[in-house]
Amino acid sequence: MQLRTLTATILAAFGALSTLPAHAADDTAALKARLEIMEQQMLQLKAELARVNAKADDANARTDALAAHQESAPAFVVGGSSGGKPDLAAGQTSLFGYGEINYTRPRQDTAQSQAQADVRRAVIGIGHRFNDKLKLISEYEFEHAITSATDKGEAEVEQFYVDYKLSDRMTLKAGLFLMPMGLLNENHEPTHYYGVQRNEVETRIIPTTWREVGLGLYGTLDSGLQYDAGMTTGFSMHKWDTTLGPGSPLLTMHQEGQMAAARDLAFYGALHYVGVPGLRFGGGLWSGNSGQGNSPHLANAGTPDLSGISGRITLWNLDATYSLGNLDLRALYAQGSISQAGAINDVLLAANPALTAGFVPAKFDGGYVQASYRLFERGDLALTPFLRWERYNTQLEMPAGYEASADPLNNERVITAGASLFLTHNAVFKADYQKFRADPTKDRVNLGVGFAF
Amino acid sequence: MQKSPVRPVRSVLVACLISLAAAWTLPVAADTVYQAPEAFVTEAFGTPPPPAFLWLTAPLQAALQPLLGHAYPQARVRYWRAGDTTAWILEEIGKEYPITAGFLVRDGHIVRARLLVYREARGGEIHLPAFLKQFDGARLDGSGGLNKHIDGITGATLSVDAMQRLARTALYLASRLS
Repeated sequence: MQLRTLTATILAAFGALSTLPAHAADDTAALKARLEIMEQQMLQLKAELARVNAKADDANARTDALAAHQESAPAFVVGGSSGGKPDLAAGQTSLFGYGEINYTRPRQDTAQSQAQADVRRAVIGIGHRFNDKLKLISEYEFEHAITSATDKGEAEVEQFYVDYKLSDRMTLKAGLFLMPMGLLNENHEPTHYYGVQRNEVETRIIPTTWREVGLGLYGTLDSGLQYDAGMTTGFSMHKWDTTLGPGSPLLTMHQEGQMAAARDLAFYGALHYVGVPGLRFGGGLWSGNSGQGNSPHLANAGTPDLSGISGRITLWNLDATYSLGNLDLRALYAQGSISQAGAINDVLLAANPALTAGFVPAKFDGGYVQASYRLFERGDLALTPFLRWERYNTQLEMPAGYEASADPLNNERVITAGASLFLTHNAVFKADYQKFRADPTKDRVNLGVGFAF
Repeated sequence: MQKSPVRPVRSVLVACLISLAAAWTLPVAADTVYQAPEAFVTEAFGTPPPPAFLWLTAPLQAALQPLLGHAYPQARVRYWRAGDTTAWILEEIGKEYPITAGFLVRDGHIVRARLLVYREARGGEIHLPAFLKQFDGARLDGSGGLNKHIDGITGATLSVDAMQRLARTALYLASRLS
């Protein structure tokens, strides 16, 4: 339109010029020629502008198409929370992990110092999504930095199972997975609990990180009920350790999916209510024989002959958490029992008549209460002091005839006071002081750094 | 007394049969879709307005960084607007896989938060209405956080954190339109 107006103006000017006297005719002819050249140039520019506009429209369409394609794929990434976005419909692999490095210094350090710095655990997790219903979850753990025949470190598969979604409210899991017992066992990343060390009850009574090979069904109902139940491998009484067993009975007998004796299978079930934000309460029950048909002894005569002994182990717990604003309260109680503990001890004693301690308890229990308060928060930075009181007795009840073998140091009370400084929700500095009532030589200061990604 | 080896085998078979029966009889679902994104927009506006796009320019991505902890992995975000109400459908990873959530924002505060699609193995409890209702009325405070405390769910910490990051992002993006 502008071009047309300009042309009309120029032609009008040319008409006016044509009325001038004859002496100006030469100048007028030159001017007319120049105007014709200008008109040609304008027509060329107009054509060029049309081509540029067409290209711009094409570029915009391509950009829109590219952005739309990007939006159609959810923001899945490998190795972090930013980056590329492959199509979730296809198989995909994710990488995650957690770790903690601790420093511990006893208050009454001895001449042979017990102060210790340790890369407590470094865990790499790999998940794979076969499709939108089937997933693999796996975690590989390295403890104490170095693993070799001459070092104390361990390399272990901590989780290795597949999840198959049956419905929105039910998922089947199969493989090596964590038992839904207590507060810590399934949520054991250092950013999820207070204290540099995991609490004593969920180490000595519930043997965190406790996993078994088996099948399970779990889910959450719209009512807020969360369930998890299934059948798994269990413990092997043939692994009882007379040195470590009395202090943490189940920790010495777990099999962790390592060529686990599986003649005796166990059942578990856990039920929690999570329908009110900030509140979760419920409990779990696990029960299975540990005698394993005496097959470990038949394979290795060096292990105790537990022929005819079922050694049923039953562990149950109740737990509750409640968050009210910046205040977080937690409480847990767990109790375990071992049937035929007297008969098992008779076998141990027959094999080693010099044995005066280290016998299998009939019952063991423990519990704790913990309070934490988010004192300071700015962005991701947060400071949360906490206080925890624990009580455990790993030899709560000894079988008849073995009462005197109980070690009073296994009936302990622990107070832990400390703080967590969160740099982000996934990285934390920790510091605490622990006081043991029965065995003050364990009193210690702990420092640690933990992270999860 | 040696027990018969039949019992454990029978237990395994019974468990397998129960699982298979459950798999057979229950409707097989994909990722848990609590509400289809289209349904969220329709619920919000009745007849949905045409979607609009907010291009995530470099300055905008820089502003999102402290809210999300990373850049939003898209070049633009689609939103729907009717009057002073905007609807946002955003995604964020909790632990491994993206969580899709919808937020309705009006006058600088959230009027509705919904979990739309959940893909993580654990933490789906964040779909419960009692949890999502906590976001109603939430605004951005001066430091980029929410002005109200959101109570968490034990065992779903990463998903709860992801929902809070998404809520902050929705509020911020909505503020950039005005």
